[in-house]
This record gives sequence, structure tokens and C-alpha cells, in this order.
Amino acid sequence: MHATLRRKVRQSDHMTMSPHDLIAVGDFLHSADARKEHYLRAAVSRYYYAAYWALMPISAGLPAPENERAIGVHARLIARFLSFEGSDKALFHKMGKEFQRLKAARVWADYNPDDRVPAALSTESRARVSRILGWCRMAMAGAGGRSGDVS
Amino acid sequence: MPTPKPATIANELFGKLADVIALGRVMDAGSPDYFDMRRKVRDLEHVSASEGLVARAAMYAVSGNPQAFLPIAADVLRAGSDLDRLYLVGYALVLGERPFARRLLAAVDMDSPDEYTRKISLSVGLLDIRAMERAIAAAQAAGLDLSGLWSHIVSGSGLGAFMNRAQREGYTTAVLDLMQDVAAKAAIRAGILLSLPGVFRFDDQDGDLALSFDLPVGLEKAFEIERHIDEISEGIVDFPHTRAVIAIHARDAAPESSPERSYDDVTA
Repeated sequence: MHATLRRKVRQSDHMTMSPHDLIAVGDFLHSADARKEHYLRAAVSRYYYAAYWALMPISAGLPAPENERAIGVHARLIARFLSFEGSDKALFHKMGKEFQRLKAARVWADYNPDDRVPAALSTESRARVSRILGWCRMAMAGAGGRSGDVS
Repeated sequence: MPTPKPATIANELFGKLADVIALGRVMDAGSPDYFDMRRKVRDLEHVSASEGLVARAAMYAVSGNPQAFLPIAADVLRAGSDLDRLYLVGYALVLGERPFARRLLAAVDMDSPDEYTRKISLSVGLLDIRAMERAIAAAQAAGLDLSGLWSHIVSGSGLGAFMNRAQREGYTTAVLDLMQDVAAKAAIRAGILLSLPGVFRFDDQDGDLALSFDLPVGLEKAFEIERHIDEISEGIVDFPHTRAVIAIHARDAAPESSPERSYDDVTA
């Protein structure tokens, strides 16, 4: 698995923007005016996609669970982490769970305009994506020390 | 040596049945437990008409015989006690007879702490969140202590039945039900621990289920609670395709502060 993981992460070097770029956009939106809910909603969404693109290359190196084509690409990414069975299982499950929570926050921010988004959700999402990036580094270190685009 | 009271025998029997179901050994007709149960069921038939009916229905349920189970369960639904009906809800779930299980549960009038907790936990097992909320509200209005609810949820809400069904169906159609069931259990657990209401949020696109709790805590505490809930969920069942998650939202996440500082706080 680890060789495949390294190969996939190298492919991610071709991305024209990094997860950190998206986090920077999120931070800009969050800091612009925390009283404006639409800024906060957009920040949550950017943090989510920062995590998505940090996890994607790692996910590509993980075994696909059965019937994964029956679910959406975002749910598929989560399923790969949560179904992983190996020496890094605890770490990958933790990453999957955290991303699930970030996804729930993003769905709340993007698809539920009647459900008020507090400023704390943006702060929380920022913390979650930071945790995920830290765990990505740990996962990559376990895969041979290469941290790729998530460092 | 004192003679055990019928109710004690019945409780022992049903406890044993629940253990066997939870261990997924229902179909192992050759196990000593199975014959032990059969003997106890025969012994029970003379105890009382009501308990005998329930015991026989339970036996048919764990034997996978809905044709024999349903007429007896219908008698219990009509003429049994509330406790009898509560017992049979779990066995109806064993057979996948969810509509009948709902009828049984709806017919239960709660007037004791045991009936309250069982009705609440069984409504979780049935994924009947509205029934669960009504039962919790009624129990709280009655001033009941629900701190022991979690053990009832684990042992009495049909989780074993869901697992058996998932195995029979090749972990396909039952998986989502099961995981939502587990999420609901963990949510209840969290709700009881924290004595705070949660908000269900569904992802209409992916069908995911999230339960959110807004708590007056900081991020570190919120993440610690989430870790605890994850441990509970993993301890119940380790399914790979979970589509449900519980998120603790820190009300004291200091939104006015910079996100970077919050990040440093939680990763220190």
C-alpha cells in the first residue's frame, strides 16, 4: 500500500493550488468580518475542500471498499479511510471521522440557509482541517517519509 | 434453596436469549445454549399463560420461524401486558418484522421506569426517532432518572437482530440502517451524558446522517468528547461504511479569535 501511496502523492504535485492555498482563502474570509454569516459559510466550505484535496492523494492509495461506485465521490473518500484495515488503521479511521464531521459542517454551511451558521463553526472547521493535515503528515511519514503536498 | 420466582426465570431466559442473539449464534441449533433455552421454555409454559406465550414466541423468533411467531405475537399484542409487548419488539426485529415491531411498541403504555427505558431503547432500535423523542420527553416529564438507559439500548434495542440481518443479507441493505442505528445509540448516549438536545442534519446528496450537539465547551473539550463517542461507536460494532457521525460543536470556540490561534490551541 505504501508504495502506491507514495506514487499517488507524487501525482498530486501537479495540482495548481495546494490545500494550504484554500486554507488561506478560508482564513481571509473568516478574518474579513466574522459577523457576516455568508463569509463564514464560505470559509467553512474552503476549509472542507482544503481537507478534501489533502486527503484525496492518500485515499487514492487505499483499497476500495465493495460497492464504492454506488456512492458519491466524497462519501467514497470517507469510506476508503473508514474501511482501511492495516497497521495505520486507527490513524486512518481518525482521519475519516474528522473529515466526515468537516463534511457535515460544509453541508450545513452550503445547503442549509435557514439553519444559522455560528462563527464558531468556521473556527472549528479551521481546527479540523489543521488536524487532518497533521494526520496526513503522519500518514505520509508512515508511508516512507514523503509528505508531498500536504506538508 | 428458595424456588426462583417466575419473573426471575423469565428474566434469566430472556437475558440468555439476548446473549445468544448478540453473539450471532441463533442458527447454531446444536449449541448447548440452544437446548438449554428450549428446556427453559418448556418449563415456563406452565408458569403463566402470558409468559408462556412470550417465551414460545421468542423461541420461534430465534429459530427464524415468522409463521409460527406472528400469531402468538398477535395474541400478546391483543391481550399481553405492556412488558410482554416490549419483550416481543426485539424478537420481531430478529425476524425483520419491523412494521409489527412498531405496532407492538406503539401499544405500550409506559408507567414504570423499566417500561420507559425499554420503550425508548426499542424505539432507537426501530429507528423511530420521533417515538424515541416522545418517550424521552414523557420520561423526563415524569421525573425519571434515565442515567441507566445506555445499557438498555445496547442490550435491548435489537442491535443483535440488526447484525444478524446484516449478515444474512450480505451486509447490503441493512448496513445503512445499522449504522444509523449505532449513530442514534451513540447520540442518545451523548445526549444522556450531556443532558443536552442535539440536532439531526441529513446530507440530502449522500444520505449521510450527522447529529450535532452545541456545547458550552472549548474546542479541546469538544474534540475530547468526540473521541469518546467514537470509542463507544467502535466498541459496539466496527463497520467500515458508516454514513453517520456525531459532531460536537464548541460554543466557546472563541470565534472572534484568529483561526490560527485556535489551531495552535488544539494541536499543542
